[in-house]
Amino acid sequence: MNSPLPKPVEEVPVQAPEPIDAISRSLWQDALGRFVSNRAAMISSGIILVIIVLAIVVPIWGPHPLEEVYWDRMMIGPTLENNHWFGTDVNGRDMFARVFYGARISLTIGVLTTFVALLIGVVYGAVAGYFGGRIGSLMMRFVDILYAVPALFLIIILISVFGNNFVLVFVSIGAVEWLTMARIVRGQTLSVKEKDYMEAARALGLPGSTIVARYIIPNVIGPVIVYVTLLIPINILVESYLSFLGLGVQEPFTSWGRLISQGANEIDTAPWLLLAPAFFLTITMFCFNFIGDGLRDALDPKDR
Amino acid sequence: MSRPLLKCRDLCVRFAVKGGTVEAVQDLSFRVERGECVGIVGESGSGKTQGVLAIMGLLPRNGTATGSAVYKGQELLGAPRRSLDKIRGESISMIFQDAMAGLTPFMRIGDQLCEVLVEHQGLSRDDARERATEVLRIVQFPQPKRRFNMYPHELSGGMRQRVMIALALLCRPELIIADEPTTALDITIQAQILEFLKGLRRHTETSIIMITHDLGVAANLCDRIIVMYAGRMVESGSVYDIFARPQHPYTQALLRATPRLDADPDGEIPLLPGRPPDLEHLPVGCAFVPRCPWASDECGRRRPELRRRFGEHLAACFVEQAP
Repeated sequence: MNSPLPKPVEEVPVQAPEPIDAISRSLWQDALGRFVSNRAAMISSGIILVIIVLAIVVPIWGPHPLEEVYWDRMMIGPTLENNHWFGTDVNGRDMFARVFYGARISLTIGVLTTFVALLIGVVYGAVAGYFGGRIGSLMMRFVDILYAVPALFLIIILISVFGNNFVLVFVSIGAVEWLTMARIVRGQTLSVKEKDYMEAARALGLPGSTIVARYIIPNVIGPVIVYVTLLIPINILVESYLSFLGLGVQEPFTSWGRLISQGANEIDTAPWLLLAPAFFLTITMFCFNFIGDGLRDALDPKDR
Repeated sequence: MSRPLLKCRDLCVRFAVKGGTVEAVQDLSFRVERGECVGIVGESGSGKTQGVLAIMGLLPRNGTATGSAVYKGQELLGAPRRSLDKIRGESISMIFQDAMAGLTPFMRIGDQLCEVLVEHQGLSRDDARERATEVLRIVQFPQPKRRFNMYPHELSGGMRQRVMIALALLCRPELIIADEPTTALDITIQAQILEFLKGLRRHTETSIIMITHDLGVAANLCDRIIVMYAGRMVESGSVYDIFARPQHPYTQALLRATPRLDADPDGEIPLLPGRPPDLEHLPVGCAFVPRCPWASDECGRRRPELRRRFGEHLAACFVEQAP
């Protein structure tokens, strides 16, 4: 029966005060909770995880070894026959194995370059922001100068001067990509520096190194984590450009960029050579971006 | 006569701002004896906070301090960071106004407390933990053992202020500078914390500089009171004389504007008319002239110097009031 009147307020039984939970939830745990409830970000994390597992497993236990050349089966399309699920390339090598071997290199480069950028950028930015004033300005003008040099150009110079090897590729990419990181960290540091707890920390006589490590970095790390998830796909892409230009990893190693570059040559006759690596590259880009969005929402200080 | 614990002479604080400088504190001289509590009273912007920040070497980058502030024979102004860090937190500590913002949000309160002890006294992690819990218990922080691993956002305002006070007390400092420690708290917590500071004074030799705009708080706790207006000390004397025989019209106006329990409940509280002065455009003469009931032409031409009225009582006003 529908009553036009609102229900009378029921007597709420007086509850005994809930014992305060001694288990403490940090801001990080709150953020994790928000991230987990973000569906797109969680699905993306799952996909990335699957790609990582495949990148580890396929080259070891896959149906075909990476460098096995099948003379009788060159450039065949994707088929279940003989387990060439992604077909074979111009030299008769199995694309499935090559794509996931390329995933290994691409993801490794993406993560390592980002790590290099993170290391340089966070330390540099935090120091510039913490000291501020003339030293800070000078440090940031140096960043501006490096910004003015085209990144790709700089990487090409570094690679052509020091020769081409795997370590150099990611060091040089990381050495270029830290600039934005340094700017983000410096900006955050400047804003954190104005907070009262910084003054309190100084009033407690804590030395500068402790203040940077324990007060500044934890408080600026949120936006940094978000930028890291966005920087990983950017760096994978940069490595792809380099490989596409022939400056990246060299045979017999391969990466997504290299596979795409080789596939592009055969786009008329064997489109799967382009599509398979391009598909995984694109998916990875999307997923990292969704994860970045999810993290940004989860860590947004306005929600705290 | 023993040396004072802290002695400030002609302390001036200037801030470089767009188009000139602002003189936040001018010619502030005062002493703090061992075990003494000195109250610094004044409106917002009267320079009370900037004065103590200068002593602690905590001025923002655009601020400079001149004059001298000698703590146990050591000059604090312009001292290198390293020697200041030895004093700050260990010998002189500070309680800040806003406990909500005074603790870093990403560290458990226990870690924040222990870190100071590890840094200053070289205690081991376990010893530091023990001492920190003990201090939390001293400041009547409820259930310190259980809340030791909590983050600041999980505590109430009163509890956070107690953590701030515990931080200040950790190394048993000789001087505590309390910058409006109770302003952000409700009245019951305020009373508890004032009671606690009083108890601290009774049981230890700790000196306190209490910055407040509340004369009631100052009366409760302090031995001597310094009244500041527009960056200058306008009156100083024992708490008894300030309340019983105020010499400066500003002090008198402040006292009148303080609500009293024994006043006529329907009567209006006489407010101090006018606005605090603009520090960027201070007049040549006395800064209080626009709001002063006694102002004469002379007050606008010339600034009255601090003069001794009786005993140790100083006031900066041309008008001589019979004590």
